[in-house]
Amino acid sequence: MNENELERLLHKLTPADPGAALDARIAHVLSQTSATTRLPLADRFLLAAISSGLIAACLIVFLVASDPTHTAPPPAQQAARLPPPVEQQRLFAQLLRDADLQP
Amino acid sequence: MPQPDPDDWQHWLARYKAGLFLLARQHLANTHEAEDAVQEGFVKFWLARKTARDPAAYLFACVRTAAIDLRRSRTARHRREQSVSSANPSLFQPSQEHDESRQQIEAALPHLAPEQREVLVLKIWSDLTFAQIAATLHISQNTAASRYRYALEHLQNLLAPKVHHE
Repeated sequence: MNENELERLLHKLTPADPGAALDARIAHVLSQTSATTRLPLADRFLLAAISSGLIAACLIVFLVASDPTHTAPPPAQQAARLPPPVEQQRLFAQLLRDADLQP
Repeated sequence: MPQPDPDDWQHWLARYKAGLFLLARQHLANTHEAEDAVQEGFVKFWLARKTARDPAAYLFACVRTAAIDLRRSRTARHRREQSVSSANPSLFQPSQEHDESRQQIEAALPHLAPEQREVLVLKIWSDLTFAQIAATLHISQNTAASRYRYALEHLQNLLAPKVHHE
């Protein structure tokens, strides 16, 4: 048998069909998919409103967080509020005396 | 054969279903899993078909990928159970006229290299061109054509002493 004869023989064979159940399954999946991708107009407006609201909320949070009046004071200011080292030592010694722990 | 209606999925399925199923069965011995692969690949194709340069090649590529992914996702144990428990029906429709040849070809096909078998399935039973086969398998047209020739040559050798002219 030469190549052409073999090709002709192969063409005579018909692949087995998976059956109609597969068509029904695909129809079901495609109908479900199109139902979720084609939302009614009212639902689209609702989704757009929710998205806009979320974006606005995020923007407000960002603006509040970046406002200097709502942020912690810089380290230099924090340090300024603490007593100077000599004063700290004096206060600590006073505490020890008050607690009667000084030898 | 004419191209199916681009907006009617049933035309596409009717046109290529048997070829897609046969391709999926080259990767999955179990017919139910092969049907799952055809379903998954076809749905993926249909949702993205408008982005494809060659929709038919894209359809076959989608089903092939789905079949390969499904085969990989099965554990070795599950595959073993499936191969033992499930029947393995014929790849081709029975035909009184060519039934002896059908049985001999079915017996010979597993002896071909998987990449040669794939090209044979796409060329003979899915009517794809070498350009489409190349796009489906991500190979060059020359590679597709040479795999096809090797497949025929190998099949000739396997069938030489068996098939009678019908």
